[in-house]
Amino acid sequence: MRRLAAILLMGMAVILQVSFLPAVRLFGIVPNLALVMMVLVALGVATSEALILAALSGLVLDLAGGSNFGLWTGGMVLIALVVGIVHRAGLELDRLLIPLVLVASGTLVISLVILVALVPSVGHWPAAYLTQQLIIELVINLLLTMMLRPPVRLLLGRSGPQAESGV
Amino acid sequence: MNRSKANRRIIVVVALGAALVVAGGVGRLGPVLWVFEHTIAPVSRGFSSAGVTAGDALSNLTRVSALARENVRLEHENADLRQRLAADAETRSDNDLLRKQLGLDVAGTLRQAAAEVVMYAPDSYRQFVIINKGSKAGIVPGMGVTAGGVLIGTIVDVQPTSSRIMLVTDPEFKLAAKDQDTQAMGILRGQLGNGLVLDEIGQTDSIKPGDSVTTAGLGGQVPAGLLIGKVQSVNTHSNVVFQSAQIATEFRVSGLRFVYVVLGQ
Repeated sequence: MRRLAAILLMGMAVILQVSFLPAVRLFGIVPNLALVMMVLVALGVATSEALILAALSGLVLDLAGGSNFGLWTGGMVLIALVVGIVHRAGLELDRLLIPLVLVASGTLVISLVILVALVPSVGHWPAAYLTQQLIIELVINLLLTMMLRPPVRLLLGRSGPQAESGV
Repeated sequence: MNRSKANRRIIVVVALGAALVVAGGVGRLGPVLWVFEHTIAPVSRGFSSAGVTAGDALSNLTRVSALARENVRLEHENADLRQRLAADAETRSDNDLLRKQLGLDVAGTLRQAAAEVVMYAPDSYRQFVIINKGSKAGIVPGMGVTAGGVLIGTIVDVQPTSSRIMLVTDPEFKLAAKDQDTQAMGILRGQLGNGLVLDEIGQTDSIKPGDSVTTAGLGGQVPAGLLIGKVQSVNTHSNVVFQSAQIATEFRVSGLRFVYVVLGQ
């Protein structure tokens, strides 16, 4: 049941990420719902399961993206691995700070990788605009994390990666 | 599950993910793309449509005060365009007659394929969309795509029943374009922040705000004369080789739903 819920949550987040959210573009940005959901789901299922979901959802995002093939697959798998490492390090996964830090780091890393890949082809860098966009995206992603954490925990339970011994 | 078995599972999954990325990078994801086209794309089509409707509603809410002013401006523009259309019809008829007399081919109307946007790039910086028509509809890479009467991008990747469009506002977009009024040529480039710039215009060429910018039709599959937008401002400095101009376009990625792929003439 938990696995099915995780698959449905990730599937819905990925579909919305490539359809509804970019079509709305609130404040001109696309919130990273897939990243937020990946962090929340990875905190609620075993690391090996989270990795499978990460690889598949990342692949769909890469296929929809059209540039930097592998960025999303790599990013999502990295998030799932980091959650596993965080658990092994013995950190308390129930704390809200953990998903917030992971989402903020993920948002920054993905945005930076996309922008760095554009360096050879972009001559003019509107620094103020990019900073503003990044801050808005960060704030929306963090708000989404806080809003979605309770229902996701309700669906997946509180056990997290420790549900399976070892990972 | 003991720790070594779990570690092995993690390594296998990570290796599979890496293999998929490598396969995608070298264009060997045929079966995966087929599944993608026939499962994810149809589902996301409905959500994209809902997103466009929601985006329009939000946009209208925030622009209520500006709508009346915009309406008046559009009425004036409409009257002006109808007048130009009538004049153009006369010119076209003269042009066809002269071409016939000189034994040249008479320019035909554009052949277009209508398509619906089913998917968008998932981030805020890159500007790609996927449409539900592909090589089966005669689409090939490099073709121009219009929406609302203006060029919105070019086809960069084609599958049997879907195609990917790089939008004009993508930072890597490049296309030869010209000022329709003065014939000044330049390179149209997308910019971060959804801007458009006409670059590499010769210092001796004339270009001014309000001029229409169209495709130049140099090389590739995009025909000449597709409207891109209007010149908003011109950047000229005596100590640089080229001039550049900011181009204003009516096109917004968030309102994009139906598009037309220009197949040829």
